[in-house]
Amino acid sequence: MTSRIDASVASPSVTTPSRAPRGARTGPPFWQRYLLVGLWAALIIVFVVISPERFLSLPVALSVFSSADVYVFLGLAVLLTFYVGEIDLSVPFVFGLSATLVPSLSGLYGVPLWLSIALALVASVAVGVVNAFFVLRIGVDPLVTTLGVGAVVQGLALVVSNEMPQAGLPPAFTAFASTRLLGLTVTFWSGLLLAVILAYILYRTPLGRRMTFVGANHEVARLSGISVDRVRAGSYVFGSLIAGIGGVFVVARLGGFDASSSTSYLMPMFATVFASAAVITLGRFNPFGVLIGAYFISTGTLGLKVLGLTGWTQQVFYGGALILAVSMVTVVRKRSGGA
Amino acid sequence: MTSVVDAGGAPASAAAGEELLRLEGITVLFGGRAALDSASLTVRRGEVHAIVGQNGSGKSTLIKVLAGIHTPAQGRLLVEGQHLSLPPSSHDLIRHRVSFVHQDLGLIDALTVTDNICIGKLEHSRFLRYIDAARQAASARRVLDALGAPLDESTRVATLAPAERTMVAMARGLLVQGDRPGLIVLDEATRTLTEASAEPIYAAIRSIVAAGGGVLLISHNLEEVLAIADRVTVLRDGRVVAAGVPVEDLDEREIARLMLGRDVSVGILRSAAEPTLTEPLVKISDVRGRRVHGVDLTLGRGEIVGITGLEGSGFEDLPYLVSGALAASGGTVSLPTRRLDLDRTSVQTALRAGVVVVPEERHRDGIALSESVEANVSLPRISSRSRRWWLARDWQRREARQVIESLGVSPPDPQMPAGRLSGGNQQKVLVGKWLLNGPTLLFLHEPTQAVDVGARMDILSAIRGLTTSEVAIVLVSREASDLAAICDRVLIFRDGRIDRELVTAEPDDIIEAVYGAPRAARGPIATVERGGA
Repeated sequence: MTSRIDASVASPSVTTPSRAPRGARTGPPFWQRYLLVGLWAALIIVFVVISPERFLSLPVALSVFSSADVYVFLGLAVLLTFYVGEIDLSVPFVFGLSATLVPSLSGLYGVPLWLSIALALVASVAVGVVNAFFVLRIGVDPLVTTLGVGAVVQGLALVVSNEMPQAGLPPAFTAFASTRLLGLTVTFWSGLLLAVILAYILYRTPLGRRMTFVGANHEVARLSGISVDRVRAGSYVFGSLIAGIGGVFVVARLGGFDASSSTSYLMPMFATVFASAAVITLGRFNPFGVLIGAYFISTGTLGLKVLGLTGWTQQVFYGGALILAVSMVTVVRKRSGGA
Repeated sequence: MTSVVDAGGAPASAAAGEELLRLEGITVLFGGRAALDSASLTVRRGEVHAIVGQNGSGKSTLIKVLAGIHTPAQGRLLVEGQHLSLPPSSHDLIRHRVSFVHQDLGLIDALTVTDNICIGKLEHSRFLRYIDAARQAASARRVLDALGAPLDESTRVATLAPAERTMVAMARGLLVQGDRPGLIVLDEATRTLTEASAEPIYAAIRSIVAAGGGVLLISHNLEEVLAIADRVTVLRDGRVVAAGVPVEDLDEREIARLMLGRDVSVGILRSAAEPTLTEPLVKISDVRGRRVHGVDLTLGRGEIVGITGLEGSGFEDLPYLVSGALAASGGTVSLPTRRLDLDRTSVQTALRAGVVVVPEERHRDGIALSESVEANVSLPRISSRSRRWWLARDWQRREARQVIESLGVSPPDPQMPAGRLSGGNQQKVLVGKWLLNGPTLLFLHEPTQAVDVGARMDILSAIRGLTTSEVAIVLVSREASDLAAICDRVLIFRDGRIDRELVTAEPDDIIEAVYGAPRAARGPIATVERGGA
């Protein structure tokens, strides 16, 4: 097969014979792309086999999805930075700050609920701006910056909450969050909606294409006229905003939050976002992959809880899930020839 | 293992003419491509042997094989008649008296001349093993005297002139060789020196070979080679095309012809019509940057101008300075629609004004390997040709198809990740990506790098086919045959400035102009007295 040749150009010689491009183009087979979904199903089956009477019930099944909202928001927040080749470890702490500010401000200091929410979101955005400032202006390594900023943010959350779990939320607010549509909470549906919006932006808008190329290669993006630093800064700021929104939704569903628990969200967040790269579009962090990763993590967490296994088993599960996800990504990348 | 040379060593004079180094049938593969194809080289005692070749001809690969950095797929190495395993260890090289002076010299500025010279052979006292400063200074003095260098061995290296620094590096190489001189490899070590300041270095080289040592000289400067070498080996495309030819049988033009070769010529794609001096389209004035010191350039409508020079002469920076990708300290670009002040021009501004660069480092700056051909091609226009919140696909498909068809990208699949294409096809995607941008001023930096002959033809003819009255094209290249094939004029850079201009040049003229003497002739290098002992 030869390629058609534009008449205006003097006889290009086709130097490499065109091989059938199909295999190369379609990439890894279906079973590999959805292997994680299979693992999720296997996990469910294991729980059902262990204790059919406790797991074969609709409320349990539904609460897997409802309680996945934490991981969905955390995963989508950190996805923004991962997608453009950055990293933001402060996400769980921003999430915690927001989830602490809302009940603390309204409960301890009598601030109206709407203003508490607004302040929580402003604070979240501010943290994103601080991260972007240190990473892009000063040039500090993002890992170091966001880890440090995260610690500071957790400290602030502890101060505003008097280092106590805070639960002073108006009942109307918590009632709203536990409103169910088709048996699933508002927080679940908002996480789903956010994933759809992000997928739309990433795959169907010029902004998303710019983000893709910034993530793929800074110099290529820069020489193509993309403001690389603006895209990178935006990923920190909007990532923090998503974490803040997540904090508001999740504290509404839970009814309260303990600022000192923020740290425990770091591992599941990583497991979720890395799982996203091990499913659907292999080797790429993607929003729908975050959903599947979050449901996987949520299933494990809830399952262990129902079996009465908390504490160390959860740690082992998060860590194991993270290693599993990263290994799958690594194996796929190696197979596809690096790039 | 064959003969083992008597460790006691024969007197130097008796050994002159004896074989010091032999590299035989060296083949080095880089990802399936032969960077060196069965290359051989012999250096005798008492001679200066020069290796010349264009960039990418395999000179530095050969030196790196000798230095033990690259492992050849095939080949043998003999030093002083003794087999060494490939790659040789640095211990082997020291034991067999092979020393290297690389272009960057590897001196420690904060230390003294003595410290730098003795770093490879510290003189310590017998029992307490402290470093004996007096003995160090004495041995430094001894090698400096042997080189005829009137240097104070206690000065700090930071305060020395470039030629003196080179001398220190040579002295260090000589010191580790001990009493019996071996081989000194000067790898572009004279590159930064002016001709006048290099004279003492040349004299030192002659004194090394006079003492029975050998010198392997890698140089870009043909004049220098002709002045001080005894024999010349020419490399081209990884092969030896002239092995140890006595310098008496050569001149600059002959070496240029050997470096360039004839068999790889792509022929002339220039239009038959006389390149009339058309009306100017773009005027570049007084561009200044780190390596560019005031370049003026007027480009006519539909003209293809080549710029070239030695590495580091500034020609390779010009496209990035003019397109805002590299910070310029001054300069302006006048385009039909607007004027750019380069000290505050961003890539975006330059792109909007129609300045486009097809960059050299394809994988680093050119295309994203993980993304599809289509996404790579359409990237520069992704915002201007789509609505803010909707990425239209039709125009992207059309663009990808246009690039694939007009440049013959194979396989013709727009959705394939660019990283799965061969190098030549990746290059076609890169060139196509920018050709579609409708440039007014188009820089192409080494557009045929690492592509095979067929892809090279496709790319060059596509560039030639671009000439319209609305565009000025600058081909930035070290490939003399590319420049000769499509350029109306070729400008040779030297030290950050345009040194000369060749109109409808032949490849030989270009090579000679780049590697030969500068236009501002400073008189020929005095031919140093030849013949060792």
